[in-house]
Amino acid sequence: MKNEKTTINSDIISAIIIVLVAAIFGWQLYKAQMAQFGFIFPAFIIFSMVVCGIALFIKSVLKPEMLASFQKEYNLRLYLVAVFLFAWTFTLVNLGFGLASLIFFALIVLIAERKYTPKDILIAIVVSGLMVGVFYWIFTSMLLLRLPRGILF
Amino acid sequence: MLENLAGSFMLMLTPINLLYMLLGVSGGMMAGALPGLTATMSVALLVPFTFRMDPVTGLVTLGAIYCGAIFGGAFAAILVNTPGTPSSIGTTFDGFPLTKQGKGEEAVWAAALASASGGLIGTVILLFLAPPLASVALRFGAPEYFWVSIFGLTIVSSIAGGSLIKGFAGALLGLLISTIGLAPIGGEVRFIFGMSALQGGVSIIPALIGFFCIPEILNMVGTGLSVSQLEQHGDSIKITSFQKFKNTFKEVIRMPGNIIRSSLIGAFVGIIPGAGGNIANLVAYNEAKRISKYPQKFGTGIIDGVVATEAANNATVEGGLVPLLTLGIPGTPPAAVIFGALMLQGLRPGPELFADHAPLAYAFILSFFVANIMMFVVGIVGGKTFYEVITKLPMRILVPAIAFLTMLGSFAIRGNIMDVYTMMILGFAGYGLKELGFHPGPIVLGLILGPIAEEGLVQGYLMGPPGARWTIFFTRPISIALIILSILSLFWPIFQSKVLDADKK
Repeated sequence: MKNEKTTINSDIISAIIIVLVAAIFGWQLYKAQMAQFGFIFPAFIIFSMVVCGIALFIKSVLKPEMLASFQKEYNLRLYLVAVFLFAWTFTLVNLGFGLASLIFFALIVLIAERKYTPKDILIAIVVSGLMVGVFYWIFTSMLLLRLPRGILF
Repeated sequence: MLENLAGSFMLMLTPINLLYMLLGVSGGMMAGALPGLTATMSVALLVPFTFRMDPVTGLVTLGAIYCGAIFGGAFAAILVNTPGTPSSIGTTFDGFPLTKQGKGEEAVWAAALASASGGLIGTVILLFLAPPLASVALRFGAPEYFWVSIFGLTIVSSIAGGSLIKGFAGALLGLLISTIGLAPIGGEVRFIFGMSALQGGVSIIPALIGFFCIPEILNMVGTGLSVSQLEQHGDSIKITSFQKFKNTFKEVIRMPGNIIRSSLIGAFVGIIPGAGGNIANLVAYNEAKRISKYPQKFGTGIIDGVVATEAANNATVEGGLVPLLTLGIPGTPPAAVIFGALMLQGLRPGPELFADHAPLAYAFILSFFVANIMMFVVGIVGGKTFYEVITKLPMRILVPAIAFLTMLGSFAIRGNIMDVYTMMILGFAGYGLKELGFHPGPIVLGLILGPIAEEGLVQGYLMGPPGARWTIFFTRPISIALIILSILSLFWPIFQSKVLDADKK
């Protein structure tokens, strides 16, 4: 029974998302009170999205697409990596591109490896150091890109 | 012209030029393979190095980089389901499924052969048909651009994946995201939700990386399968690389119709200023599927899909140079960079280029024959190396490495941290939508076509006669042709599925 997956009516969730996004953007458009030139195109798209949402809702009743969504074999690992990716992105400015990348690269290597002996930790640090170091050098020294600098580099 | 050609060929074919072309093709390929480093960026980054070169050497090097970068995008598209450049979005549709079947190597080789063929056909067009085609491109006004984008959107019916409604909803979502920021006409600020950093809009490259790359990273982690392990799920028979290459070569050259059609599409789309490989590869994919005897196999991993997109995107390289060299109007963003390089060398693109500097202009055009042949050879060798590296990398290294490159690539576009945030947020949204059965292709298509459609719609409306402004969209000959094409393209899959059903019965 371990691998049994429950399916969900993906059409109804999709319909809700599409209508919700259309409503948020529609509200913004209404609030902004724009002139015709900036209004006409997004208004038409928002209207079409509502139509698509209604069509998806009707389909969800008549012929729903049942999918085993969000159920992977290693869900916990997936969520951890997702959190690390998110944290990595949003610490780039404060920690600096280099340091944030070093830390989260190593953490993801460890999570994916699922081994936490001192040797594995050392390997993760060396691999992330090499990878981040080489690309950091290429982009900053050769391509002269100014990457965000934080507390160290 | 013929004496010019012979002289220019000799001018171009010097050992130093050949060496720079080889370096240019190889460097361009590597840059193109990295998501975030576009062909425009690769060419722009290397323009300063060509200042001190002889004009012919400088130009042939830039041309070679451009060719290599457009082809290089196929590596990432095929092997990690992430288009290296927007020109290889369509390559992911069949390229990555081929990798999952254990045929990634064959897919890369097919892409190399198709890209080189597309480039060679594009060069022939550039050499012999440039002036008449450039005059056709000049007839494209705002209403025509609007209909081009509508025609582009009809492709959704081919790339939607499982559900057509979700495909259209995804395209609309992409169109809506494209409206974030300043309105193209009027300059009003829209949908920035109080964040001034969004005023510049959502850049296509970070969105592309987010929608394609992040879901793939999460999928790899969730399933615990890297590319190398996905391969073991394939049913490929163990044969030598040489045999595989021979079989792939035979398979590709058995589809001349697909190659020629896709190359012509690519060259023509490239000629239209503002359109480029990002649109051409999807149009070519759509047409290949529409004309195919087995359209239901597209998207499941067939060589035909890879051949169509790769032939088309490399033909846009030369197509984009048609209006540049004949009229002085760049057809694609990298062509605009080459425009700058020509000016820096003291050469003014346009009719006088051929009148005053004919040997140089023809040497530049002819260099694309050599660059494309080089690209094929380097692509075969480099493709195998890339394939070996990607498939041998364990998941624990591949996942953070791709994540790191996506962040670096997104930041490199404009040096703006907001692009990295946008990439990551859209990436997570893309993962959620993918789990709900949305294909990323239509969303990205909407994002690409959105600005063209809006500008065309509003400018066309303003161009229309007072009191009957909308009539301009339905009365011009090219617009009418595009409307007919759009209707045909939209309803063709339905007609085709009816025919297939009837055949089965």
